[in-house]
Amino acid sequence: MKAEPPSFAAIAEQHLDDVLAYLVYLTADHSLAEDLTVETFERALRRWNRFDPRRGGARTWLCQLARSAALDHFRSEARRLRREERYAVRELREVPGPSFGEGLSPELEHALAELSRAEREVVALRVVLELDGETASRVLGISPSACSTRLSRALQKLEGMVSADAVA
Amino acid sequence: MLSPELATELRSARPSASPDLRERVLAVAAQEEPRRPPRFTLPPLRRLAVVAVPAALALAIGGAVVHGLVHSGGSGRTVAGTSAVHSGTVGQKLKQEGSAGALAPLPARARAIAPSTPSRLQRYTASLRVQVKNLNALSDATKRAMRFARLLGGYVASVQYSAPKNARGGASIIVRVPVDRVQDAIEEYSGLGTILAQHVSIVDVTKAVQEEAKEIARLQAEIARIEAGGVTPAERPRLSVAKARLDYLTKLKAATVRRAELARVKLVLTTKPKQAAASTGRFDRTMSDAGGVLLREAEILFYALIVAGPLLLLGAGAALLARAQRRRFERRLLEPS
Repeated sequence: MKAEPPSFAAIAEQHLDDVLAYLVYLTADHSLAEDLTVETFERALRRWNRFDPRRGGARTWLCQLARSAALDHFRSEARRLRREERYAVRELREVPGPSFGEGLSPELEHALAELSRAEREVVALRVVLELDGETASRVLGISPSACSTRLSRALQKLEGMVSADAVA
Repeated sequence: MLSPELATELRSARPSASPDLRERVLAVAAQEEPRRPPRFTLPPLRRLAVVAVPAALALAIGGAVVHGLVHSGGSGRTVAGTSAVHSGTVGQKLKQEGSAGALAPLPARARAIAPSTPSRLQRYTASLRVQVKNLNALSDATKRAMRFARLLGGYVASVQYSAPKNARGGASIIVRVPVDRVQDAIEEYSGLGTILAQHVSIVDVTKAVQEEAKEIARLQAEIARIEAGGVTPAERPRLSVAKARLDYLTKLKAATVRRAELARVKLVLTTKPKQAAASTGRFDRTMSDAGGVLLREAEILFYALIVAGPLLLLGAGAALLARAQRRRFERRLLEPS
């Protein structure tokens, strides 16, 4: 007998934390990550018809949608910044310090903040969400070897910065 | 590599959704789930190619074989034949060429394509190429053709006959028959075997003969006038030229009329080629036709590639460029922290 495919609500419940964690690492902004998480699930609901489990798991698909939502946000943000620079009406905004999770040591928190978005997202996918190399590379839209190179560079930087902070 | 402690710390401190966020997301998820229509998605390109390429090949080869089977037919090929008619006047030769096509068989008994016109003087020539079964038939047909020419009141102008043991036999007969019986001759000769080719030429010489007659009458009058007045030494050369011309024209007119009374019919008889009769079996023809179709398909594919190739290359180039551009832009967005 064929099993009934899981409902969208069940999928959302199951992978909400994964999507949020990925977006927190990518954006380094918890409240923005929350907004993008909601945006991701709205997009997912609209495209639920097109989801094909044969092409990858729900978590991979949601992470791809989350990445696309984040990139759209970065793009519009970059445009906004350019516009504001042009008209010199840049307002000073209070940007809260990044928080990548409760209970992280200040050294690790600081080291993560120093990484680029690309480096943080590969750390999130491979270390935090524990995706395998092929799945992570599919989410990032790059080859597995490029993914592996990016991960090792990011971890090296992270280790280096954490050790330096600890010595200091 | 990351130390296990750091990895554990990262995983244990992994962000989790606040109740507020969970509520917002579940509210989104609780919206009416779009009904899932029966999913039809194209299979991935590689999987599609694995099925489509052999299917296309099978279709091409199958089509070629079916074409070969259908067009090879049950028995041997029909005998090739051509037919042509030439007719015209002396001044203006009207040429009509009616080819029956490379593979269309001619009727077993062909009537003369352009019958002679009794009221006109016409130079009628006809030639026929007829295939007979074997050397015995060739001998019989040659004799019969000669006998029939005499029967019609004509004569045999020439005969060439060859019957080698291991090659095709052949005979070439030229007969002259009265023009009003030429149709009978052609009908009779075409019944000797399978017609391979037929050629008829008619040249109307009525006007030429009339002009010759006029010129003869004028010369006769001129000679009579000179002789009536007594031939002076000065007129003597003129008279001899006129007489010589009269003599020539009289002979020419007589020859033209004689030629117009008798049609010239050339009959070429051949036996069947020994190899050709035994060669092309149905299987060989099927394979040959199928090969031809496959070759044509390959040509079409090649032309299509030549035409579409640059467009495909341009499309692929544009797609690659767009992807590179998108990647570069994404990298710029993701690099600064």
